[in-house]
Amino acid sequence: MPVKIAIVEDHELFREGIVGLLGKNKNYMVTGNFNNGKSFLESLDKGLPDIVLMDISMPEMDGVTTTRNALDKYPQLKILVLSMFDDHFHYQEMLSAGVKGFILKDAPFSELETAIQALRENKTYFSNRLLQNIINTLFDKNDSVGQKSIFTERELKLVRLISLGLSNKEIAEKIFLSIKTVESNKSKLFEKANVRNSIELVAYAMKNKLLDT
Amino acid sequence: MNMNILIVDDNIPYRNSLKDFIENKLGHKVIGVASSGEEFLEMASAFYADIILMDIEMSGINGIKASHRMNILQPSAKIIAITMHVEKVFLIQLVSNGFRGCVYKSEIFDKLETAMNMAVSGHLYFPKDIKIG
Repeated sequence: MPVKIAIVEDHELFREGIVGLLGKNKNYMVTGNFNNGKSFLESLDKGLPDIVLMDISMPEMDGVTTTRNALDKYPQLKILVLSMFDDHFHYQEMLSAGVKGFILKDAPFSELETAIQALRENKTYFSNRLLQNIINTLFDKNDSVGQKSIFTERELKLVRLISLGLSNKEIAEKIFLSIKTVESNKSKLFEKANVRNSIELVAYAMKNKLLDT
Repeated sequence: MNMNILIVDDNIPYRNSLKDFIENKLGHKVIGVASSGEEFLEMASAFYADIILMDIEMSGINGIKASHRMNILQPSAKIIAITMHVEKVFLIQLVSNGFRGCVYKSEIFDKLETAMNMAVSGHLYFPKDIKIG
């Protein structure tokens, strides 16, 4: 029985390239060919593939949301991420959503076959080059935990709201505080981070990776 | 945010103190405890836990195998490895078996809260000195 494979990838030439390569081998059958996450999700109710090859950045619905929704409904789906080297912002999210492996888009076809086989056997597959990248992002993230300790969780929430460009009034409404309290909390944040205004605070937060957790 | 936690550890006194810490110091709810991988995999509450704290060293189905199986059943499960033996765990092995984090038993009262917050928010948390693999 050939392995049923669905591919979710918005770059047409790349997608069709993989479909073509898989189609040449009787061990594989491409049962789904989608250029966005939404149409892939809609297809699942009609039957599940054995393996899903999933891009990360796509229009309409990206790979992270698509993966979460798909696994929410069909946890048995085995999803292999097709990743660019610079997709590292999303590695942790994809892992956390429950993907079973990552492969780089410039990997040789034989590596894709190895990865598909691993997933078929209920194993995981992580490309070595990507794993190193995942590890780097992981420890960057843990480093930032140390750095952000100057702020409490509540303060961090405020920092993030400020970074969205919200006014004191809008922030006050969002976190159910008076404008006066928001103003005084902001002053405390400035003092803690040793900055003079919101713009400097946001720059500080970006530098210390406080905004992406 | 209050979380529902499940603890899998065969060391009962340790498990009890961890439960006490989670409920009384961190303010989360422990919705179930198990003494082995086998017992854990039979528990329906495993599917309702926000976080599963899994001892690695257990006889029978150990924590790694239990996490691997849970990950097949529910890929989004947030499982954090708990281990006494720093030298016996490897990052690649943990990540590829579905763990979202790891905390050493010796550091648990300092690091557990951060690890759980990271895991529920879709991130990973591993000790900096963990061996890669």
